[in-house]
Amino acid sequence: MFKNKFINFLASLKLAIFILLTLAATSIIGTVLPQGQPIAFYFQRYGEAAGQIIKFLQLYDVYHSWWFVVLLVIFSINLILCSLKRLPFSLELYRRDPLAVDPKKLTRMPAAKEVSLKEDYSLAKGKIKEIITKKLGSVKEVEFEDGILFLKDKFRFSYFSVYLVHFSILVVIIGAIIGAIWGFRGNMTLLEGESSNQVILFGLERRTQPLDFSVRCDKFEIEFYPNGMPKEYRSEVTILENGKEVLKAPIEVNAPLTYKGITFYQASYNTFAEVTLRVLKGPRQKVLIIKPFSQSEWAEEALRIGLLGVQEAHGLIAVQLWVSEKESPPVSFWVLERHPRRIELPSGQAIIIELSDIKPVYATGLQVKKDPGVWIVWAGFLGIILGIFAAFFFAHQRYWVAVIPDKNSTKVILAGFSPKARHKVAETIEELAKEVGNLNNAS
Amino acid sequence: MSSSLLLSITTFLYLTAGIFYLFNWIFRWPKFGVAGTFTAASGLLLHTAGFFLRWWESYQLGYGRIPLTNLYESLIFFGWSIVAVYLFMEFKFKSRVIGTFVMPFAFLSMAYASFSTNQEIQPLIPALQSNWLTVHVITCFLGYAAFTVACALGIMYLLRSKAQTKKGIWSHLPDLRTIDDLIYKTILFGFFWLTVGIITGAVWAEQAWGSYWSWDPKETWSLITWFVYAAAIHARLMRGWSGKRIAFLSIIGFASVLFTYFGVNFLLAGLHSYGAG
Repeated sequence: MFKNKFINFLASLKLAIFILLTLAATSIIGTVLPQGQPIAFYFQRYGEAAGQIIKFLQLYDVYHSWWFVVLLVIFSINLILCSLKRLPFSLELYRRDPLAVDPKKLTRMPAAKEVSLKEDYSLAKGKIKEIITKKLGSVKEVEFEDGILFLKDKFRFSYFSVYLVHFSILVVIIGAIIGAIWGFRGNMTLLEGESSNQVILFGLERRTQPLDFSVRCDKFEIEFYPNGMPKEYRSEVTILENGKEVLKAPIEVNAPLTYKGITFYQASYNTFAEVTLRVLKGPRQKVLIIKPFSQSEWAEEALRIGLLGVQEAHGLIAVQLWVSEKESPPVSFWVLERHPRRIELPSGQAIIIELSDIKPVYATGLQVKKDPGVWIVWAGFLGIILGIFAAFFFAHQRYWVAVIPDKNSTKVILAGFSPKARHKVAETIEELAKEVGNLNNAS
Repeated sequence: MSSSLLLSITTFLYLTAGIFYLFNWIFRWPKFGVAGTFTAASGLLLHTAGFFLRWWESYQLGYGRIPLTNLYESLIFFGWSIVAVYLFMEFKFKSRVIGTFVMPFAFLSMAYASFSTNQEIQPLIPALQSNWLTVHVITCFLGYAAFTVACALGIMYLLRSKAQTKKGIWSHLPDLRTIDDLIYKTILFGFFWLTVGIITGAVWAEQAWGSYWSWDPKETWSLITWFVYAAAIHARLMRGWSGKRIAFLSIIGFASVLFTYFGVNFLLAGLHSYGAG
């Protein structure tokens, strides 16, 4: 298959490097050009010509644009073909019989040392084995016509670690695709006490995704540092199915809640307020409590007052209210704390509104997601880490020690081979040779 | 005795070590090489003490946490990682000349931290209160540090290959093959840590926000850096890709590291360039 020129090109290392560098360079675009804005934004900001280019190349969403996806597809194909092309070679290296060497020719290895021992062969044999085993672990021994050969073959599996890395990258890509197709991501904002079964999905269209259960925020708790920054916040929620309370659980930052494959994250919060007002109309007065986005009624006076917003200005809290008498159109105004305000009603009468109390009411900002591919991605990540670790830190090393009787003395040839760990092997042979040589001094 | 004091002393120790290494290189005085190693190692010890002292100081303030969370602390840790990775390499490969090229990076990181950033110990917002922070930051910085050393080696390589003569200061640098081999090994080391750094960041993001990858500028630039070094590693296998090209890649890669570390925060902050969904 690799004799075909085109396939060979798709499997080439040259293409791999080109794609990697192209992905690197083109990814920059999405970090400097604002993403996710409506098309009009780009035409307005960059003009007609640039706008057309941005539209055609889908630069408003670079990482999901057609050409970026094409690059990723070519990258994946290249990864698969490269690996298939190289696999036979790695298999051959793996299968190469380490014992298929001529012990006397070991001296030709790049890391080889020869030592002559005064000792007799049969004695030397045992002592040498001891030295090697202490340094390298258990060794294989094979008798050949001239003597004995010890062999240590370390980390032979490391030829395949690079395939684990490549395969795992593909696994991550597959997991991401599965998540993109069968998953969703969005928001859910709940006031304390509120419940919902709708998720507002991310993206410009703000579509909603209904869930087959509801989430109710029972309580939102928040603590602040002395300097005003949030220290900790969490929501206590209840899951309801068919009206029945099924589960009560907390959701904290960095500690999400998962139910039926859907996960809820404590992402943010909004602060609203519940205000207590004292309303005076002539000799009569009434205390009203108004919750966020709602209203209260003073039935006897046919007054309705609603809460529009709460803000802080110059260290004082201000609330924006509207008031309506009978059926007249509402009039809106601001009231500052400690500054009662006199409002003239359309009927001619006046009321005084005083802000007695403000209680913060929070709305919890939950991020909601479903991602059936996430565990596949995790598996891929694990494979990448293990594969790179094995590829870089467990290079295949081979050590041979041939012990050959030479009249009344013994000849020892030590050799090592490792395409990726030349230094380590040279060092080890050096040390082994020294230790073996020391046997001469011992006797 | 405060952590800032210890760390300031460390900064000058690194500068001194760099000067010793420079003399070792230019004048071929091996005693200066030894002095360089000794000074750098002492600096690292003091640096480590300063790091833990600052950690302890944060407990005194009531919000105890590992000092890895703001620009000042990250620059301090970056400096620490550079010297730690360098000394590890010096020990393994027995070449002190590299110190001349590496120590300036460590010194600059520390100096910039001491003179230009807010050193206050601030408490952590809830999103940062996670054990993932420790793993993610440490692995990323080990990667950055290794890539810094690789860049220093790349510069060394280019200077050495320009040297026409076999005499003078240039000849005291290791030969091109050795430098090339060291660049490769350093990049491999850095690549492993960067990969773990990106992955731990993704897993943390998933746990905090439900999205292991959002194509936000920081994430995207770390991936860009990853692509560049992946290319450099594979380029090694290509015949015809000379050591010079790889030395250039190690410098370009470092530029990408710098942009990922600083550029994203300082230059892109106002742009809200987030991938759509």
